Amino acid sequence: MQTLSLDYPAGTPAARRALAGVVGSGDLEVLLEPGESGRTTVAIATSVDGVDDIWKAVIDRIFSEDGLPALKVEINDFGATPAVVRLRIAQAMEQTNPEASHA
Amino acid sequence: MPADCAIAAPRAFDYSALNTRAAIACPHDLVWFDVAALAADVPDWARQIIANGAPAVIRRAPRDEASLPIGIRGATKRERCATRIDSAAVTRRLAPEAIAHGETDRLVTADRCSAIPAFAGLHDLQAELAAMSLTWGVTGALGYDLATGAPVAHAASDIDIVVCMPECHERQLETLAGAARRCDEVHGVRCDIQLETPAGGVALADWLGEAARVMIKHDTGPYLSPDPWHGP
Repeated sequence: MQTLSLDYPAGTPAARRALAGVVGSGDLEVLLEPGESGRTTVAIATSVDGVDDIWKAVIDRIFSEDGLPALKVEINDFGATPAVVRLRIAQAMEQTNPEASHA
Repeated sequence: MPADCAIAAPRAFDYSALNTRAAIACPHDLVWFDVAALAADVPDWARQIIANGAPAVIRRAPRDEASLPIGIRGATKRERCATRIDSAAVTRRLAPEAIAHGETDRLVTADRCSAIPAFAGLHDLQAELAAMSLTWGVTGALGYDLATGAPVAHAASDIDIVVCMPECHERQLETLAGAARRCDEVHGVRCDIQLETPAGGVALADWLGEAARVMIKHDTGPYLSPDPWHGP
């Protein structure tokens, strides 16, 4: 198990918390909570060693975008691919929107 | 993190359909083949595993007529090799449902059954799911262990199962979720249930969760959809 912490400038805190993903091989769990104003923090715990650079590239691309709300992001990774990482974060971000609900 | 596989597929298969499952190698199937079938760029550790007679696992990745996407499991989580082999090289194929029904010639000893709660949990699941007339199977470390006899399952192993669900049956989904919950309560083992639908693979926990859209694993790459029975 290894951990990685990343930090990005952001806007005002997100409206609410959200949880997406599942505990299981090739997947991950992501918890989003409102962050402190102006700053998004991302904490990743992963069962796969030695892939810090890939994580940083994937997470940089998501949170370097302008105009995102401030979030405290916690990721528990079980060997997800970059595509799964991006989708799980997108899925959780959708739920921080107060209008989102289950179909 | 393994590399992305998101190029366009020339064909899309419905892995929840029994005729597809009978006809072609589907994701999670184990396949055996000669080490000579491996491409030149496959690392030595993976080559060694196949040379020792172990199978590879069919991956969810783009399909063509001539080759199969496979993954080779190494000793550590970092040792995962994604590659392709010639379809004709496969000498034996074992589906997760055959493993669940004990068609593997492998028996779990009483010692291992008591040391590894996942085996005891699987035993209970077999009884519960037998009453549901479903096509389901065992994947992951537990499936690999049962199929090959390689002792990869350990005390902290989860149970990974795949259930074919061509149509959405709410009552069956509730029963499955209940079985997974009991596994956790009785044996302290997490049971990860993957549904195979005509649109792809979706985690039952994801579908029963609160998200507006769920993640569907498809040969062309994962995508988000509001309904795992109707695609994007």
